[in-house]
Amino acid sequence: MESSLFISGKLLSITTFVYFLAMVFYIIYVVSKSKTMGLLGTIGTAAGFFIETGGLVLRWVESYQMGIGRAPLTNLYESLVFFAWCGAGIYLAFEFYYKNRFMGAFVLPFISIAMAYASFSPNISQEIQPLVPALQSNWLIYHVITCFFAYAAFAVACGVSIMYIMKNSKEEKKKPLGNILSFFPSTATLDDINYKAIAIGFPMLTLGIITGAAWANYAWGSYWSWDPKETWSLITWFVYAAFLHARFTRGWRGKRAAWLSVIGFFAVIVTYLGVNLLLSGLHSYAS
Amino acid sequence: MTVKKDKFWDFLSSVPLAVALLIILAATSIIGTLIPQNASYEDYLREFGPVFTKVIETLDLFDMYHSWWFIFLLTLFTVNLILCSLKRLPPVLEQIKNPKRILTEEFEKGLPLCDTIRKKGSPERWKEAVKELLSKRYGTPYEEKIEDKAYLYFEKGRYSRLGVYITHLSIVIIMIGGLIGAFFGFRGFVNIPEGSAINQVFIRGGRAPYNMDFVLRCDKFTLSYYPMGMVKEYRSDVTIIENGREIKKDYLIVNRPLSYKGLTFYQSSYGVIDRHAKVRAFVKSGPNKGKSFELDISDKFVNIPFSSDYVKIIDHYPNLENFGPAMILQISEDGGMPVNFPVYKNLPDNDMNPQSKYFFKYLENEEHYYTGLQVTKDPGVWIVWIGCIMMMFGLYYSFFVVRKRVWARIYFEGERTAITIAGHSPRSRMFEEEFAKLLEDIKQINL
Repeated sequence: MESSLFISGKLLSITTFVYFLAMVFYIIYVVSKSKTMGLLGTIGTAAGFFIETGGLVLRWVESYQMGIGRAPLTNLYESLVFFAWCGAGIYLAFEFYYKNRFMGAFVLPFISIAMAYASFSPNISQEIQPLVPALQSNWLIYHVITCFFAYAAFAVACGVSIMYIMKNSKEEKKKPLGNILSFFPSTATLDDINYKAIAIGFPMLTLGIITGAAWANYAWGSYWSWDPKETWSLITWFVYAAFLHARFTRGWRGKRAAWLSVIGFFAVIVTYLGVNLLLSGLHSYAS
Repeated sequence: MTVKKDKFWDFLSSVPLAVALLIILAATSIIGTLIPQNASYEDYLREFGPVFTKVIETLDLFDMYHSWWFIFLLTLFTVNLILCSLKRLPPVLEQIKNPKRILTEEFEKGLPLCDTIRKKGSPERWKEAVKELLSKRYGTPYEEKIEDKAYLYFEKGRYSRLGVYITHLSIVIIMIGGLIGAFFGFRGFVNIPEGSAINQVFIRGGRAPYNMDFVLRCDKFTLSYYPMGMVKEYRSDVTIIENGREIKKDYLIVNRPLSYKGLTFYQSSYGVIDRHAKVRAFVKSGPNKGKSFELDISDKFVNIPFSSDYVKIIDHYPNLENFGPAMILQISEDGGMPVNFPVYKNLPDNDMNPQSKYFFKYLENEEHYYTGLQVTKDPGVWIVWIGCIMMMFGLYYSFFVVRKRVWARIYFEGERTAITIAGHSPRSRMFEEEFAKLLEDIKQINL
């Protein structure tokens, strides 16, 4: 038991390091445009994703060996690791589809920060702990997977939106784009990726809120009670709903939509971390 | 006047209003996450001071999600959503029923994806060839022949545009479900001591208690623990009794509620009614030194024989500081100040209160509990779930079903057959490649 616990922890530590390297490669790629660096970024992300998959599966197995037996999705450490896993998976899919590695320099930092925060913050326990009665439910798995899939998709959208805002601000002022920005995908493509990521994230977030409501109703008889976590998830939902409708409104496309995507991801971070760090409750990840 | 009225309706049913309302709802909702909701007036005074408390009170921010202005925003949002949908739905339905199926030369000009291929062979044979190729991708076409020109029309994902209306309708349905729950349901609680039964539910919000038409008895409440001492399960074994007859025995744990006759019971809390314990007291000093007695103690002081000393049990832990079960006793000797100390079951030789005349050994512990159950009646909850399922269908259709249309016009032109193909999809970027591939495939065909 001890030795295998060692292995999952080891694998996830390696993952942190590999994602960090991938991020560095992507950034060097953006600055130098060395194709090798871009390729290394992709290889790093993919390798990190596979090692992390192994780490997560092993952690699940280990929890059974400890006689606890629950999915590795139940505390802040595990949720950050899972967020990074979803983010890397979704990012790789987008990179493959759009054949553009520049986005890596803007998306990998989110993944790297999540893993580094999980691994190095002294406040985050990496222990496998048993579940309190309130969390002993299959709804936990459905709820967490849908929410984090959404969060990761929104992280991709946010990264792309930042690229959009950078490139667009130069284009609007008719300034020369410079060496780096001119290699970004066109603003139209960035806008398209932003929309696609949110088109995946929004239904997932909706499903996450619905599964959360169903679980809340099952556990304590109220599907909605305006607690801060619920409310912030609804705020996030409102922001992305505004984004989706803004696309049909003249004057709200492009730049403002990109800003809404950034604001939306800010709401995601508050929903995910802010509420827990500032308030207590069932969603709190404390100890 | 009518112009003004029209403008008002246009505004109420506009997408910019929807965007604005979504942003306003998002922004105002933040307030209730910063100001604690439904706390006591004293708490607000202490936290915010008298002036700010007055402001908060005036704006109903203590319970902002049920305040008049937030309800007004939600109502406006719903009205906007309904009007917006009603305005746009009829033309969409009309287009679904009667899409533009004939690719006229006039219509063609408005379609960016359009090309004409000229080939040898008769128009009839080409029509069949094109139909065969396109049917594989876009299903059975609509066919028509006008003045020697053959027209084909393919459509995939026809209903995808209904997705947004299904989603909007689902929001209205969820709200209706919520309102039904708010008006015809309630949330209450009961505390049932082990061995007792209740038939009345206390309702939150100061309403009269609700009389159940059956009786719920708590037979036993059990706490179980993980080896490291964390609570693993709260469990209430209960019996439903109707007209004096036992109908059903069942149990509740967190995440396993019990429903009966429209009421649902949820395990939510517990408490200790009384404690009993059996200990052996050894006298360490004084006139009775060397004697020992078995004592039945409880949470009220009992006299230790042949003395003016009293002892009671005040708490019990399943795993105190990782040494296993322990009871906390309180002892008062010769009228002195009471002293608390633990008695460990697994450390029978450790004297945790050396100053005392007595040394205690843990024999038995027994606690009687009451179980605290949340009780709800919500006749609207099923409507909410139907709305949620509809919403997922609606979102699926909106985002993952893509409408694609392809038109073909095949006619004899000079010595050859002209095949004009046009395509359209709202996700044009992806479709462009698909359309180019389609043209290429047709060019490859040799009859």
